Amino acid sequence: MHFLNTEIDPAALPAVEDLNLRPVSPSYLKVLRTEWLIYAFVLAGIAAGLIFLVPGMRENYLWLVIVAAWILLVAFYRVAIERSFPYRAYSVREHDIIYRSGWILRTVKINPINRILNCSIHIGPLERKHGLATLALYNAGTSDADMRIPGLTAEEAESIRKFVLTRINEEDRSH
Amino acid sequence: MKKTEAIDWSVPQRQPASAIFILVIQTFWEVVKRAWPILLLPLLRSNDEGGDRMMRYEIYGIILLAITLAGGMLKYLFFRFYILNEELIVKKGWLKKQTIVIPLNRIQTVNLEQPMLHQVLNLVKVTVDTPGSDSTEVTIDSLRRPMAEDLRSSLLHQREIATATSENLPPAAVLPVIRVSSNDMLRLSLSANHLETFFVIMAFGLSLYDDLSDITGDFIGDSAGRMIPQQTFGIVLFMVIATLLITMLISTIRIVLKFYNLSVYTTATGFRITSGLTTLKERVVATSKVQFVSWRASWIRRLFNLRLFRFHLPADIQKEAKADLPVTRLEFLDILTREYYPVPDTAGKTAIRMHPSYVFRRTLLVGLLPVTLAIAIAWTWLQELSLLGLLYPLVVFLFTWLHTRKFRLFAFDEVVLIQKGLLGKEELMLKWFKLQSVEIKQSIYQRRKGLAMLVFHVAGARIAIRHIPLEAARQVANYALYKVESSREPWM
Repeated sequence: MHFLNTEIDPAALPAVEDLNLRPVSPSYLKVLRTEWLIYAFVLAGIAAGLIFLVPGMRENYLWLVIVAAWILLVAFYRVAIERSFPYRAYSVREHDIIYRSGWILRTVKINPINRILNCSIHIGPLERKHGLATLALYNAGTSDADMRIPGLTAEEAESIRKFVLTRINEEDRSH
Repeated sequence: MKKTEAIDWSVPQRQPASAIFILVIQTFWEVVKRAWPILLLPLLRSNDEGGDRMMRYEIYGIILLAITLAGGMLKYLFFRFYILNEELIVKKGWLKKQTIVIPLNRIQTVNLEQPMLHQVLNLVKVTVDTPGSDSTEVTIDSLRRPMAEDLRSSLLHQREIATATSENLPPAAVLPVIRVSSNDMLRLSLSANHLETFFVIMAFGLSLYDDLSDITGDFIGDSAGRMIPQQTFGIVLFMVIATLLITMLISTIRIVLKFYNLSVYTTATGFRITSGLTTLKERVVATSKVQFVSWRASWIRRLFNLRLFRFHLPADIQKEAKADLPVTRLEFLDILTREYYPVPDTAGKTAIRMHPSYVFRRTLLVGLLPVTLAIAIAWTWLQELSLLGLLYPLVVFLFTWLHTRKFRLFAFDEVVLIQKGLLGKEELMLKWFKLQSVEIKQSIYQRRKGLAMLVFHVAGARIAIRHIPLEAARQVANYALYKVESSREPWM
């Protein structure tokens, strides 16, 4: 046993690993794929610029290296999207919010609600098209969001936001 | 607290007129700092005859003086500050107007400082810290001491009403609980990290050289090249000894500047720390705002029985170095930690340790892999010499082995205690309820081996615990969440 605790049996604590997490909306995969396509095009543009505008690129087979790098990057990004998607899931518990993501490095992040200072919803143009939203939770001490849960339906995001804000207010009043 | 007359803080206030002097000098330094290569140019490049040259200096001087005076005056005229509706409002700037609004309940600390020039003019510099980013911090350059103290108590008093706690600074007559003696200073200087100082000097020298050679061509390098005669053993030896002595001297100066006259006083809510040789600095640390504490010592400092203690506060992200407190006697550690949480005894307790496979994984991924690639690329130019690169994985192996061997995590009821270090030792103590969020990460290898990385997010810091058993990581995370979520104590 790794735990040193006399009063509470660690096995009796609510465990994060036992949870049934909810997967994010399947249409978020479409958003990710479209983003991938845009990314591939932009990179292709940069690669083409390098090959045609930098002198000596075409003579020395350096263009082959650039094309290979483009294929590798784009393919890796696509594999990462496809492989990590089934793992993306979240859960809202009474006292915390959990988000699971990643492919090579898998992450489970747990954010207690009584530490959340603010909570907002972001909807990008691609997300709007599919009726999706990203929920951002802000804690203290950082300027950027501490947790972002993308791929929620707009209704889900809104209801979680309301839930979190109500809970924050309850916490504030109880102090 | 001394008060001359009641100040109405809801009315926009200006700094006292003597502040103009400070502001002008400040502007002068700003101009010199930004434009010094240009200012040096006429000195280095001018081939003119004497008279012309003098003329030019005068013109430069007058321009510099005019910019400085105008800048200082404008800064003074356009700087106002007041407290309205529970908010500190600071307005400044002439061309670029800026209004900074800080809600009083977000104010972390209010520090009063008295650099040398301020001491002469009997003025005080006030800095207002807020948690999180540095951009919202406010500095009021010079105020008379009674006014500064009144401002501090107004800012903190209203904050205290908001948080329903009280803070009373003790009168100056109270004896310090910790004081750094000259004997302590000697021990600190001797045991300082001279290698670090050496690199700081090198870096400073190189950047100075770069700046100068930008404007003079390679004039310095050329003349230095001419000056050095045939390199002989004697000269090399002399250079080595001289470098050593200079490094030690500068280490000592750094220590003196940092810790001279350092005294720690206890207050009703925490500590008041004063220090400084030329600049009298005063920091107030409210224990309730401390997120976690740590103390560390290199192996040399351990021989001298010295530690450096640090309070980690949310506003200190950029300025943590300032908060180092030398612990010259073991009982000082008790004094500093007592209010936060007394250091628990680890004797006989089971610790969570890093899995030994970390040493090999890291040597492989961070050491061998990049070096093999680098050697493959560098072989064309360096041939056998590039094999020297193989020393790098050895160093990585040694460091990782030392780190893995020393690492311990002790989970106590109220706090988590982490011990780490290579040759020295660093200890970190965090109250569970100060946590902001928890993360468990697993790489492919870790998933196969049932290992994980556990990350604690605290306001302004991230504490990563690598390569521990997944089961242990989960248990610690679950317990941490239980403590955070069931806690009613304010974490700030």
